[in-house]
Amino acid sequence: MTKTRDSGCGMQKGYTYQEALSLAEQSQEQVIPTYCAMCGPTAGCGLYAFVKEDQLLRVAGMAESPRNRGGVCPKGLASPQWLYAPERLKTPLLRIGERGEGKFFPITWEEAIEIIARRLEEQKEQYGPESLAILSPARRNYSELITRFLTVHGSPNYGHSGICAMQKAFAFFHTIGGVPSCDYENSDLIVYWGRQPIFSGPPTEGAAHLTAARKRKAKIVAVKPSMEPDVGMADMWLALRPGTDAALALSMLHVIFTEKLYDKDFVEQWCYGFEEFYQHILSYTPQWGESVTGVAAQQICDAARMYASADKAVIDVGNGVEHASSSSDAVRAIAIMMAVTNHLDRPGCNLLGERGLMPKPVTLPWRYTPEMAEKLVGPEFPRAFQPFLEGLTSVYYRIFDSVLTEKPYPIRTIIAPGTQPLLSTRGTKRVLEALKKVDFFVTIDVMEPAEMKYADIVLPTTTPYEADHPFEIQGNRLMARTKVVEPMGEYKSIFEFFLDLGVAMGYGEDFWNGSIEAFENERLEPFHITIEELRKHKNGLTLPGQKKERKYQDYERLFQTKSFDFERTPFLPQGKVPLYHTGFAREGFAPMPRWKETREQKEPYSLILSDYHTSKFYSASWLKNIPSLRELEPDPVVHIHPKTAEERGIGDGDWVRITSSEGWVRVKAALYPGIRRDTVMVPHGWSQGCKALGIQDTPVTDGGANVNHLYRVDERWDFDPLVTAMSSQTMVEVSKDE
Amino acid sequence: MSSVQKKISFRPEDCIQCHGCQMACSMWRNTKAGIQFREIIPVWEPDDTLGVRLKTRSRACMHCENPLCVPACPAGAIHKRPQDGIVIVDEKLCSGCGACVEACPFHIPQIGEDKKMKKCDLCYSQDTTQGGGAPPCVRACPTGALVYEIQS
Repeated sequence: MTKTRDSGCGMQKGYTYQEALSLAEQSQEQVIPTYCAMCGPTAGCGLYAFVKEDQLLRVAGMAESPRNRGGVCPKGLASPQWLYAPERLKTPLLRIGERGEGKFFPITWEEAIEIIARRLEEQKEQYGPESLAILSPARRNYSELITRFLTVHGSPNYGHSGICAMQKAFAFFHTIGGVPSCDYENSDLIVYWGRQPIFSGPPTEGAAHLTAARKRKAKIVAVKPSMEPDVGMADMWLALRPGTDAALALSMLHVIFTEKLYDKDFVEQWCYGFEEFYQHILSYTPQWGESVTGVAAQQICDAARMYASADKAVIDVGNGVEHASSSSDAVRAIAIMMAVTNHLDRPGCNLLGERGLMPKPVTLPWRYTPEMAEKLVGPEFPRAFQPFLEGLTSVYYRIFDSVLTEKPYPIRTIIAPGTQPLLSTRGTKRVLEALKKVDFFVTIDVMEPAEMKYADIVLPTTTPYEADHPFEIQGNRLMARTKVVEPMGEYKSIFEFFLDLGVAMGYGEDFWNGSIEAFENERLEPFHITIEELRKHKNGLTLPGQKKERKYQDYERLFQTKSFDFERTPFLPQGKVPLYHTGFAREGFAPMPRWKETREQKEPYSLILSDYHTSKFYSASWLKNIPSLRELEPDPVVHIHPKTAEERGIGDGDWVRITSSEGWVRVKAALYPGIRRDTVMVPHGWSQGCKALGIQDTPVTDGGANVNHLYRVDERWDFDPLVTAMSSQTMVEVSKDE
Repeated sequence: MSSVQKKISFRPEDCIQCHGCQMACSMWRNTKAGIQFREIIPVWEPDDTLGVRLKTRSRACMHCENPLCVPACPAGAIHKRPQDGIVIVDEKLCSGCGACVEACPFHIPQIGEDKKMKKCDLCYSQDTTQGGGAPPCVRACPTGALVYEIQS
């Protein structure tokens, strides 16, 4: 018997435009090339949408898209059920009852814009422009417009989550001068550290690199508390206690320094503060590391030696590392590890200075002023180090805190686009109090958000399937967005919201006088094409490659990177990797990464709880209303080790109560052999119901399944002092819920 | 026995358990709740290196060389197509008795609410395969864990 791979139509993965067109022709459907809208922040998988009579029927992966190369995940495939979900907001709403009562009156888009504009004008006059805060969603293609609007208005209060990307970016920039990318293809060893390479955007590069690495027998090391399918593919698993990444990295550095596994030449030439650091690291022995992280000392030694001695090795640092009050220490220690072992900017290692093609930025950084920085209501990074990558930023949670404490002053208006503060930040009970107290609260979304009944104005927006903007670039492929279907209600896009509001506030000149076309054209400038021309390329345009010979290890240049602060101080004070950071020391922060005792190390509860921010079927707190996804994962579950469950008389599928010092949640037990015995993990931000399946929303606090309210928000313990990362760990007890 | 055999093979070592194949099937075949032509199942196995290892199994009709469901069907509704080896059910003849479910060593067939047997038919009945090419589940798979093969 001969085996032949099918060659009937050439492709096995995805559909080419031609294939999609002929497929659609058979069933009298239309094909519209588009981008998937189901997850973020760096979404952008290319899709072919199959449409009949203005109805989206189904989607397929676009083979030509460099992002997903034809693959598509269950979230993307469920797009039609999202577009037509009964939970969608249908019209702008104005609150007419009491806060929390949920009584609204439908208004037009123009009326809503007018009400918001007049209110912001009044408050600007009375309290100053800084009284406005806009919460950042997980980074979206409209995030720059938030910054732009705030800057034009005069407020520095862009509320960034404090747990995503910027925390590690800050620590990386200040240690090695940039955020390193990974040269996976040429690597012999890949360390996935607090990283989920497969469930966030499964059709994108993450999973492809992992499976390709396995095929060529590269070694895989996974660093995280529980085993998901990516860890199932690993050669080594460092199953650390949640939130102890800094301790693990420090004890690995101890091994690297004391066993002289570092690159002597590199350290001499390109590191600053060796002597201080060497003395500092001596107390972080592998035995000490074991006592804090729960990873065996032997394994810590093995991992350190394996990484240090591998010629080509990368560390892929995920968002998991940003969810601890020692986040900056962890990332600085990991960055130092990359540097001293000579794994920086060499082929097959972590690379610096790699940058993809980007649209022209539309923030207005030259308009930031030191006076604005002074007014940050809760600086995400110390003022001396602002503005940073995203401009001037306040930390999301502190915006709510200011409403309650009125310190340093109370925020008067909170606008929440595409983010659900009750489900996405910690300290839910305090957020709830702040939502009741704040002067003016505007929520903007596609679906009914969890905090809808506290809003003064609810503004529904189009899904990206109902909008003809913005264009996106993925790799070197540029594609305009085409409307898949007409908007299904009285609403416009979030882009139009900022343009319309800008015009209504008298900021028209800075907001393209309300013209989306002009906005698109400005962002397209680097590509020398107009949106009108780009639209002629229905399924996108491949830009000519500009392969330049790459110069590796150009530390002279790489370590001179200037920061984004007002003086443009270099990130690395000596132009070298600061093992001892004089800039941090000057501002009163720890000059060397260190371990500080956590509250969890001294608590009477017996188990440590953390949560998963990515999952197979959901995107953060969203998509639980999609029936075909909900059928595959109907209940919030807690992963608990069978032995841990047995000790508590808990069986698989039992409903259990998880109790912390802050409250309790009710979830279903899933006996999970691939998790530490002292750790339990639950999904993030679970509250949304599913009308199509008759499933109700669950409470955002006690009795529901929203993990956020179990975490604490005490400034002394639960935030990283440098990067304000919020802790995703707390001690709990788990018991059967009778 | 057919001279040509079309089939989808599953490579567990490449599966990342995204379940894209399952959802592609649901959306492209409009299957009703509870009906899964393919299932991706996480399994735990003891492991010398990691202690325990999460692996993947998949369940779907394999279009067997000698399908036991065919002779088991009292209505003669199931047959293996000679031209491509696809095992199909004629819904007009199927009574939904479930004898095929019992006869299949893997209990793959499911009986739908309409009392008709449901299982993967390699999309032979659909336009989704572009005249015999890979079905949507294979095309959705980001890592090539599902491979459409024509053996002859």
